[in-house]
Amino acid sequence: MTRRKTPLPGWLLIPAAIAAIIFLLPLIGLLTAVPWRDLASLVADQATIDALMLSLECSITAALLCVVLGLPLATWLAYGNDSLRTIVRVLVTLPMVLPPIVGGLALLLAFGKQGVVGSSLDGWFGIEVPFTWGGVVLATSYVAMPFFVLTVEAGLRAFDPRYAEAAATLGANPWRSFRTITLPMVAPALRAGLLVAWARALGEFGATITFAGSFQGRTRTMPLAIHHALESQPDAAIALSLILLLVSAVVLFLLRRQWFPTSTRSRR
Amino acid sequence: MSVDATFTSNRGTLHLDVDLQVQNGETLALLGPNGAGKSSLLRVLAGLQEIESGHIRLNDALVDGGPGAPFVPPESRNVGVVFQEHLLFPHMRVLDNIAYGLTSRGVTKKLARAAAATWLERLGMADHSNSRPDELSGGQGQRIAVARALATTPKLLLLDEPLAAADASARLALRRTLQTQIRSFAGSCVVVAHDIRDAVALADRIAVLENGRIVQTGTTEQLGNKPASRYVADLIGLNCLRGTCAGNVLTVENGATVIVGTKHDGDVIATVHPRAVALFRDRPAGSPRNVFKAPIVSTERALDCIRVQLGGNLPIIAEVTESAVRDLHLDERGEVWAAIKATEFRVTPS
Repeated sequence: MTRRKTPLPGWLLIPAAIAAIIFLLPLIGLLTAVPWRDLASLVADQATIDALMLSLECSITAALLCVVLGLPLATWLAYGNDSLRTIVRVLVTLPMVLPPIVGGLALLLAFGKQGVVGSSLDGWFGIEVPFTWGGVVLATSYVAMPFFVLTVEAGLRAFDPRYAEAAATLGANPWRSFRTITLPMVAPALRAGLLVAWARALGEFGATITFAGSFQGRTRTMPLAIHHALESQPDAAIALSLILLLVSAVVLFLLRRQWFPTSTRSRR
Repeated sequence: MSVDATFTSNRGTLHLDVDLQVQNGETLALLGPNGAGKSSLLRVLAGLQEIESGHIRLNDALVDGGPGAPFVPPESRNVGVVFQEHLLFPHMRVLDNIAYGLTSRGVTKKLARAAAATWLERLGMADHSNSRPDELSGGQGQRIAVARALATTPKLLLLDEPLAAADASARLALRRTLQTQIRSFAGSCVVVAHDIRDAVALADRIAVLENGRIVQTGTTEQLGNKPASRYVADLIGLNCLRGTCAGNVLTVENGATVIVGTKHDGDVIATVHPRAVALFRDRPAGSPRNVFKAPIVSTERALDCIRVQLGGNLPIIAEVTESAVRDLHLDERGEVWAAIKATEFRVTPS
């Protein structure tokens, strides 16, 4: 059975097309500028491979941290409506609103050698976070986790708690009910949150460069490598951008069912 | 499992003040108007809502003693619940929904699934084992919900309007299934019903809840003999008049008077069975003490009779046979004479 759709107002197509073109033109610009002839050697460069691997490692680790730390936080936030939760929610939202460079600076002031936490970490355990691999993960997590927490909290708030009650009357303790009923039922929000957070972590620049610096092979992720190359060899910057573009496009394509609501199967 | 529930509990604007006992193995139907607190009462028994004072004892074991006292959470109460909208887990197939309670209690997945398959077999729904809950009709969903609750062999089963999810055509069949399941269930059972016929079909005894309080418990006969409220009388299908009695003259709230067979003084509730209201085209001769002319408001076909709603000063219902309807030309609307013997009224102080 085909259902007639309510037609769209015709004028809407003009601004819609302009918006689509705004997204298309930069892509064309990038693709026309790619130095196809030297591409192979630029891509095979050790620095490029280092940067790509580091970006993937750190963004995936940040995404895992979202699950390990962000999921419990989102769950706690969704569980009530008191002022403490409101304050924490503002704290969590701040990194989304702040310029990442401010976030990086704040992290440096907290975890740096002179910082509130950093001095004790250094003094007691000899742990240095800034300008290390861990620093990249911390900076990207700081910027990316809010997207995960807020998406998942919204999903958990939309979850009908009567299903958890039904599970309880069937003998499921709170942990089992959360694991086997709540989480599977909010899975779409989890997937969406994970994907946005990962994407945000992959593209993170400001907080990383401020907090972790740009050391080749240690903290220079793809966005930092592109920024670095832009000053000396613009061709390499374009090649690196192309790689990042391809990685992102492949991931979006693989996860399209979770990502684009139109391609999810309609349920009966 | 015997239930001893004497408690108060608040939920939103609803204040429950309940004193309810259920014997071991007994099935109790809980009836009451919308918003009376029936679902909340079930929630309290299941442990999904805490009480403010009093106690809940299941088989003499205290499961909720109010604030500060021990509270046994729902997962440890061994109380099965069938929810109004069945609440089957949408991400699990039917078989795993039924097996869920057993695996929650530590049974291996394999054994739990085997037990669930037996349940499906028993319900004649074996071919739905792999269906998703949203592929089931309302009646089928409710059957699975009952199986899911019973699969854990609870000591007490609570059903919240189990027939509400089924459409009219599936209702009778579902009621029959429920009847079978409840009869073969050894534990006690509390079922919230909307319809007196469902209550009679499923339960040994009826409790009526109004405004958070149990106003009456008993068999339909006991309820009909002495209904505690207008709601109970309407439920049983009796005419119910509320008014003031002086001797054997009852003055109804709207000013009409009737003569009743017994003498009372003060505020009373008088009931009269619709069958005791006789209708005539012309003024009847003879002995009935109450004879009055009334307009016909509506006629409604019941199982084996026609129920005629009269208007005017004494808005009551009369039950007459189909041939009487023809003889009286009742279908023409208009007015008829009604007669009620004084002795047909049952009068109780209110």
